[in-house]
Amino acid sequence: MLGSIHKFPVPALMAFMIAIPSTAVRGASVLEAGRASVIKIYVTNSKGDFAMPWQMDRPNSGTGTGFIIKGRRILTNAHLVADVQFLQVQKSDDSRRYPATVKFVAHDCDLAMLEVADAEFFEETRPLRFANALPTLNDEVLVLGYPLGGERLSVTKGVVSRLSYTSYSHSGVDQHLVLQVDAAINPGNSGGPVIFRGKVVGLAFQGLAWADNIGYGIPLPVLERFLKDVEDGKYDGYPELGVAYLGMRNPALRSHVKLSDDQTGVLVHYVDPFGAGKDYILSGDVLLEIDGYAIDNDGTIKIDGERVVFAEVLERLQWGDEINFKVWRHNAAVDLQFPLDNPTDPFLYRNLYDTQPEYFITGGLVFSPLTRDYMRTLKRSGNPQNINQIQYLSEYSKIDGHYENRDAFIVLIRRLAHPVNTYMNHFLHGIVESVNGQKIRDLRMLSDALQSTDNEYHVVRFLGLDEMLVIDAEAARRADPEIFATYGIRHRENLGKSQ
Amino acid sequence: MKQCIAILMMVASLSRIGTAQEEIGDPGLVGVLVTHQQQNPYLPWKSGKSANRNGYGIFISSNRVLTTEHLVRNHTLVEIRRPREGEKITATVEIADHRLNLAILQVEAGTTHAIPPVPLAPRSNVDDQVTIFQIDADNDIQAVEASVSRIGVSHLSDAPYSLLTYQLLSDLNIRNEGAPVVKNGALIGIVMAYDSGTRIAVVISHPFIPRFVEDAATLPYKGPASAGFVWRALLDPAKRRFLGVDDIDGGIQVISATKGTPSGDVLRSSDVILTWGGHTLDNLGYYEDSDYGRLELSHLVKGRGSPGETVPVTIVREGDTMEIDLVLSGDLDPLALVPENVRAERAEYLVEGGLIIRDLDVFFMRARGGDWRSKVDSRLLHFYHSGGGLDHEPGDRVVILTGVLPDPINDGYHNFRNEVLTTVNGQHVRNMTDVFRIADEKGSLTRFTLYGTDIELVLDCNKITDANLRLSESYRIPELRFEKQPPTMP
Repeated sequence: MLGSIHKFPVPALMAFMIAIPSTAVRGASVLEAGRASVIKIYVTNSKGDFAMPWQMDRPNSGTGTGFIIKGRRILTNAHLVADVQFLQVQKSDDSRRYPATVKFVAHDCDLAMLEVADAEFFEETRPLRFANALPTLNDEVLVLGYPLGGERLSVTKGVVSRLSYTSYSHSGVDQHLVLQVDAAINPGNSGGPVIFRGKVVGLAFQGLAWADNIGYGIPLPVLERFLKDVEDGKYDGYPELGVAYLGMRNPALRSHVKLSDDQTGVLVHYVDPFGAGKDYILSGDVLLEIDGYAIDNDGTIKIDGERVVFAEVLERLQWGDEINFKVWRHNAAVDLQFPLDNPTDPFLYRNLYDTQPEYFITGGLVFSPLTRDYMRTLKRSGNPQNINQIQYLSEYSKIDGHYENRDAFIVLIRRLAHPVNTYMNHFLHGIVESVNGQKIRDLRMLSDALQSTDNEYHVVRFLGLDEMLVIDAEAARRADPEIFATYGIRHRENLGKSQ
Repeated sequence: MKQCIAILMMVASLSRIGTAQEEIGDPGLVGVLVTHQQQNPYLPWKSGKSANRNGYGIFISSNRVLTTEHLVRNHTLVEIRRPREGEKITATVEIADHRLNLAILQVEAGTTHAIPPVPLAPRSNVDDQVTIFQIDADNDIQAVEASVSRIGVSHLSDAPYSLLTYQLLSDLNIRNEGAPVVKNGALIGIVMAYDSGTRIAVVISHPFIPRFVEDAATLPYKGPASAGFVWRALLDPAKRRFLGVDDIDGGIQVISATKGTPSGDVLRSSDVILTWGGHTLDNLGYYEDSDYGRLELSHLVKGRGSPGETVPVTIVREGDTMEIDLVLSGDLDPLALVPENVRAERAEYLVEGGLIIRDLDVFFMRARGGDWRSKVDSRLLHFYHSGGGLDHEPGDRVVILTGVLPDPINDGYHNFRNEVLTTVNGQHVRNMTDVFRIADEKGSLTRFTLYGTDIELVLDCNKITDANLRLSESYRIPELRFEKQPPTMP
């Protein structure tokens, strides 16, 4: 289906910290194991302010859950410890809180690993062990955690109601396997273990704001992939194949590409310029097999008797791993083998964490790269002017070819009112195309162009706007100290990556 | 002293109008009853439920009634009814102009009693006392006193156009649109919109009513003029210096000129317009109108110009002052890549193998309801706002696949909707005319490329005729194809 690649924004699956109401506990041993391994996390986060990028948003404090696994490691959710300013952990039945640090964080699958330097913390703890396989439908599982306001461990019970691909709301764009549990789950304790027969099969992480009795856990394969990924001392993330495809159920389509009746596969209609497949797979290829599994006309493969989308093969792989495809190209089968190492994709708009927003200010005009976080601030301010352009580029810039010759879309995000910029409001939220005739690739280039002393006037052109913005270079320079003082700005710019 | 007498006389005459119907005579007021039905933009062979709209009109000749365009939009039946009478008389719409929100209805001669038509009044002034006529619950004429509170350019209520209108402050609520406004027995205007909160009625008035009536009498109907460019006030001192007009007082900046119009050939972005037809423009785009005082430039174009007329214009381009001649255009909507289709006219379409193909227009997008801009696919909206960055020619449209009616022939394609079509049977398509032409040449359409991809959706050419029959039967599609007469370019 067209558009099966990342579209933005994914309808909000409201992520919240989930609380587990106390219920009668059946297995005392599970509770005992939980007391020795499931810990409470105290955290204060503070994120950069993407509407006024020279300052921070209001700090938030909260609590969550984590659990100890082999090697004195603590697993929890990335969304708990994202943008962390202050982090402590506490064991069940222990009043002491220990400082902790984030060792690894995986925002694309909402997982994090914490470390506690004080060895005393691990006294009388017992790491939880992972199960060998996922439970099946209707298997009874227990979820352990610390409900909001509660100091003591609680347990709730439910059954596995589905195993499916679902959006991970923390990053906003990623989809992975999810363990759906019918336990009544409420805001309060993300990061707790999902236990089946005494062993970990998942990690509770998000719920549905609009449905009762649906809770989501990050299942075993995702946890295991994370642990394997960080074995080399850093988290790389999921490889992205970067193809969009059309199922080939239609016989006319199949005969058009001269596929025989016994061949099945999917027709690639788009290859992402930042995906691992970009130099290997061509638009118009029919993907016949992945790593030896035959791909059906609807894009599924059969693994261990179960029918799953072929992307599941990629879900278990790491960066640098090789992948094999058999494709149908120019009426012949071709074998492809290539490594899954993606370049970073500046046009994939994930939620940003642990980073300060980039910006540049001159003459009271604040420029910043297009980010998902900035788009969220726009929606909060009631869909203002020029927002369609931003929405369009965030969804279609790659497919429609607008990404070429640039590394980011630079947006005029704010006007800090001053006589020098009084008549510039209608350019707000416009995307910079060029300055003084020079195409703008990134924020650094914009900063250089607008600080150049070669021009008396800077002429800024915006994508899709026919009117040009004219800045009197000298007047802007003179105005800046006053503007910075008025609005409490200490630095003219944060060029981030392009610095 | 003279002034005092004049006012006293006016008050006296007004009170007569308000109290004694017989003495004011019959102003030729009618109720207009409209049954209307709108097309379904997604399934363009389908119509929505029919509904009724009531308003008013006024006889401007023995068998012609003036009312608003909006009232009769998408009509299936128009009837008029005289006050104090129950009989409904069928009327036809002679002409309707959505850019002026005016329409003329015609009734068969002899079907109504002879009513002396109302003469058209010259302009009014702010503070003039006027009478709005409407029909009350007892089907009797009601005269409502009102005064002109503002005369200026404002937006039409049901179309994205602006026009010089009168605003009236009325004593009583105005029930429906189309209510005539009369002063001294002559028609000043008709009510387009009324806000019961502020008691303000917005009225289409002079000079548009006399011009419209005159224009309608000579075919082909020309309609109001358009300048063919977009402009903005030029206030920013830095920009004025940059454009070399810092030592001049007024002037506005041209933002863009519409391709396919005379302005598109003559004007450039960042030209500064200083005078228009001898009128000096200030930096907000206002001029001194001999009838109404300070007014916006658009009135010089729509209220005083007409299509085809040449206007001398003074501009500053790159620091040089020059005189140019601009020829005014008519309706620009047919030139647009994505037309507004304010009148919600049925779109041309083709249903082939269950694929529903039509041109994109704003009516299609607006059908998503309130806040439609945030609901419509951002790429379609992008084509509307900026032409998709395409260098399009007049007559180009965005051909879209609005959806797929499931059938065995299109299995696997059911989820496609709101996609832009770039080629059909391997040929580039610029508009529905191209699509129809290819369909006629090839007999059927079997290959389709969507914008942003280079693969084709393929339908079985041996099965398509049967599939079309089956689809038209099972989905009750009376016509799989609707093609209008070729449009005439202004």
